[in-house]
Amino acid sequence: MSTDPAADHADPGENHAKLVARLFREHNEALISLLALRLNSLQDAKEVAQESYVRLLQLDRPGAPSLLRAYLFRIATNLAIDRLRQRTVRWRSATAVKAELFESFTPNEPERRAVARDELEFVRACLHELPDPCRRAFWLHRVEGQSVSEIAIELSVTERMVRYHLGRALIYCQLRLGGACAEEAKGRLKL
Amino acid sequence: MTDVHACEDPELERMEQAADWLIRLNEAPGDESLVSTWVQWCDEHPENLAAFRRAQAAWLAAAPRDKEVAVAGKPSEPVSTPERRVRGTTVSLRWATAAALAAVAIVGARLAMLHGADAGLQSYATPVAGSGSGVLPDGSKVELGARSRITTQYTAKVRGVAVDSGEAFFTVARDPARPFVVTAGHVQVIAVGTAFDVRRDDDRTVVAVTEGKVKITRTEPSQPSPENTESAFFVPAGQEAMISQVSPRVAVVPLAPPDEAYWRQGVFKYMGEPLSGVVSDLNRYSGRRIVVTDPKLRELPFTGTVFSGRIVDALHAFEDVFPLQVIERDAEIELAPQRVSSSANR
Repeated sequence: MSTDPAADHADPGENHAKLVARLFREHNEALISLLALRLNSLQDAKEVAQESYVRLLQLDRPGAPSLLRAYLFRIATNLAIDRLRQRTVRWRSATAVKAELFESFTPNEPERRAVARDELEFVRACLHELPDPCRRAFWLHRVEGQSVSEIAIELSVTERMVRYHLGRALIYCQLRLGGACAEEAKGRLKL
Repeated sequence: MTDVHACEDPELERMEQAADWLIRLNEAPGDESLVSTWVQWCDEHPENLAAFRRAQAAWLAAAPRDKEVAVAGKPSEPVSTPERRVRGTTVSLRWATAAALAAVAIVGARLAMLHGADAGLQSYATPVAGSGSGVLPDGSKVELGARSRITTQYTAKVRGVAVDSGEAFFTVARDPARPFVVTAGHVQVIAVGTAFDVRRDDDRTVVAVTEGKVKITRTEPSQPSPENTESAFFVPAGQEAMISQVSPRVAVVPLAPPDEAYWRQGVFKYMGEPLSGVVSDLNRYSGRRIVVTDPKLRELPFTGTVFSGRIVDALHAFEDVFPLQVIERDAEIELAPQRVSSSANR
């Protein structure tokens, strides 16, 4: 597990900063992607990622370089959990609520929202084109927020099958969003 | 990914892998080893992460967080789920905040079916990474964390709420004649007029009280009597009780301060992290070295929050949820197996 703490101090802080910079170069995209998945928001993901690097830089005893990557992802996951908690209003003050309400009303937001709304309508329309179990699994998971295990029970299939359906539905929507017509997308997925 | 057609269509194969990763990562937010293998996969080919991000774009498009984005009025439900026809689909909910609420799905009837079509049962749920709030029929307010679900069952005598999964914060409307009873696993929380948070994991329930006070009882599955006065206790405002499913002991600790400052101190949050991993983190901050040698203890999964400024407190809190004892020495702190009934402990 942990080595002699004195050994950690043998590495000057400069070295640590270099390691963090390298982590940033190599894994920032992946980190933001993962955080966006957790937080359902790219903006929040970027903020949390940034905070994670800061936290990583501030460690007094950063530990073995080989563990740094795992540590970065753990810090980020912790911060993401914190942020999700914040959203639950557990500690939310009136100002925070207001900030959240108005954060999306910055000048060029209407346009982005319009695009997102179109996409949403399009994706939901695409779901209609899918075979029933596939469509239901995706709807229950993505819109109603049910877990894979819950859906497995509801649809009386294995969890593996639920994941399979979810994957198919997701790829189908991707293909359709990417410009394929229903026949093309179905043909490619052999639906 | 062993689909027959995969070899004919390498791009599709990559999409399938990306979708599979996305679904699995989304299912297990706390799984570090999964993240680590996923990062490896991303490193394997420059196209992998790009494919993942494209999958993610479609994933987000299907259920955006922003309320304004949502299709106005009724959700364009493409599935005619049979449960929807049951009455009481709770149209009267007045949602209090804008964030993420459009995506909040109300699935009461599904549970009503499971429990034998009781019209008094309603359930509220939030989607993955969403949150929502609403007003319950008695005027009490509830805020739901991400991927959380509660079920209400109100009768003339009692306002019953079950936290099925996740986290819920309640601001209870005063009604002394009709107690507000929240059930989370084997834990029952009884409130009259108060505000508290119930967080439910697989192996434990955390009740954090911000106003008033609550009474907590444990209902063991083996003894179905709803009220066991011997195990009842009160938790006042500003305190948080952690009730483990496996240990009869309960830890009551002060709530973390509500300000932003504590983010800056080291705060570690874990979901199912082996104790050895937690300890190795804490050793970065602890003046005295923390040692756990017992292999069984090292494997115990820990879920919760540790503040780097209060490590010793945290270790003593471990005594309450794990079968271990803290032995403090000059140079080190040892977490040793509990001596009493060591054979009976897992």
